[in-house]
Amino acid sequence: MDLKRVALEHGLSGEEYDHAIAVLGREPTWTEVGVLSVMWSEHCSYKSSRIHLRKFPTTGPQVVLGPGENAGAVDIGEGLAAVFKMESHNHPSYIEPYQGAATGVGGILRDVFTMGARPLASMNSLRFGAVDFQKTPHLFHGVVAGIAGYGNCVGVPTVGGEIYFDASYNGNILVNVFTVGIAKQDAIFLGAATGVGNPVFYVGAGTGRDGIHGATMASGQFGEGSEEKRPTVQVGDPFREKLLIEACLELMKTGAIIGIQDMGAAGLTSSSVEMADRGGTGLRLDVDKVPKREENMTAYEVLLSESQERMLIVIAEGQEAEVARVFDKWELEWGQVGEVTDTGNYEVWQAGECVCNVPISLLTSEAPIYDRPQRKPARL
Amino acid sequence: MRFGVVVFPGSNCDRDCGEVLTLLGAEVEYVWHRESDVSGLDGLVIPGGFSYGDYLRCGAVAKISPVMDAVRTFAAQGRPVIGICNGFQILLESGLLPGAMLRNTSLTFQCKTVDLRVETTRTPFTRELAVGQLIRLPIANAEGNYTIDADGLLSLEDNDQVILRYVDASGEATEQGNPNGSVGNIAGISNIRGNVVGMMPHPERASEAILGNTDGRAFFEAALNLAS
Repeated sequence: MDLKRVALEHGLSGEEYDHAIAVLGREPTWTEVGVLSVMWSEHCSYKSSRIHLRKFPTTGPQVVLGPGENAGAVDIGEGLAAVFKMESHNHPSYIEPYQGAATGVGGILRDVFTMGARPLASMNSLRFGAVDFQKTPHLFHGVVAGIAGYGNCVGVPTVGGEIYFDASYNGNILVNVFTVGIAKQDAIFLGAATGVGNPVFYVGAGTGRDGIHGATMASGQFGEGSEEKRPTVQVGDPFREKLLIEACLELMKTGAIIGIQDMGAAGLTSSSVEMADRGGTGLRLDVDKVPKREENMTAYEVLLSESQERMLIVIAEGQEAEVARVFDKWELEWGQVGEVTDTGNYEVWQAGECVCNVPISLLTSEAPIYDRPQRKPARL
Repeated sequence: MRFGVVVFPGSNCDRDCGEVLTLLGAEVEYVWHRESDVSGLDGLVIPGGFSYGDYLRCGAVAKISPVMDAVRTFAAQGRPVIGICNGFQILLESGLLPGAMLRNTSLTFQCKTVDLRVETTRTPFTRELAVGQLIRLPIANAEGNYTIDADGLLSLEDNDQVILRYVDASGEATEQGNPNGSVGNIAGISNIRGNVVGMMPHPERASEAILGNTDGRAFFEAALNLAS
């Protein structure tokens, strides 16, 4: 198998692939190519936008928590913090408007309750193509229904939003969703994997083959083949999300949680890599222990699946029984899938074989960063 | 007074109901769906939400849950039970109240504040209101189109079981005032005895001044006053 060709098909550039070989000192495995391609996708690495995002102000007397975690937090007095985040779900919504928008809401809710905040309200900012453009009514009704349906089922009201229609969005709608929650400032949870030997738990829905390479798709260009990308769009289950909210908030009160993160874009891969990166540790995962809803899934598929309503949690060693009690009460699928290590490496095992072993830093701090050429659109 | 708020997986108005009851001085116990004994309580609320996800007919799974057996026993003893929104749907599915829900005639989710007319003060939850009193409460449902056959409707009316009707701004039960197509503009009913009440509007969302409406408080206050 020509792995370089595979890597190019995954959206990596030739230079990026060569960089990976230089750091690893060998050809990456098939699974590693998948991991590298999603972690280095624009969607996960912000490799083209990072230099611009740094220009935003991120500090201030009320800022409890700036960028770098699952959501930001601002002091609102009385020891409380407003925890909020906005996120786009543009590409999935263009392909499948209802599910694309609904899972956008699901993702943003998870980012907020991950921090220990109970979600209170959602909002949205939408851009559609021209009102008389053929695709607009279909996209508009689907997106609005998806946002409303998911939020209503979870019990978090959509309290406001804004919509603009313009022909410049005909081929690329913008679907931004926002959620705000409230947390006690001294009980905010972070997504760091610390404490060598601490067990790593997976909880939520089982992993399926849906959404594999969603992050890579979201970073690509739309063309004639957009319809064929439908399998990379995930399907949400707001009922499961509601259970996940209650289970996580309940578990947070027990003191068992060391670090917690939702599985968003690039699923199990990005959540586990980011947690180890923040903790300055390594992480070992056993793919065989991940709850699955399909048979014969490869490590590649399990790592890259973007099945919804899943969380990764690092637990204080010795608290395993408490974790099991809470997850069983809420009838969620869960597994003890790995542990925190001191190797600084991302190690994945399946059926007794190590299928991925790369430095965490290669996937995070050493990911490529680009200053792309810029040009003002001619129409402005 | 100890009031129970039943919590199914997927309930999402449980905390709202609990907050209002606490605010009004009640001791609140959240009753998990696997519980089978609610005998120590003075009243029960079955809150809104999506019990078990409601991927089947609304309330169709909740009706066979362990806690509903306990609710049936509790109701049979004449003690106060109120089902709100999904709670109303569950009471219908369980047979504790007559009739059924259809999808709204608009086929869409309806989320707004509506005008209502109180039709009876016979129940523990409406006893402090006045017959003919006009109130405003929020609704939020896609399946709030109450239906019952002609004989059933006659029986409801004859037995003074209609507690609330949707009305227009002038207080008349017209088609204009009906947000979902409910037969007879019915927004809420009770059982024959009057102790089991179901209603689609959400009184718990209109019980604090900060939320801009306190018309819903009377439903909880009345039941708490009765119990104490």
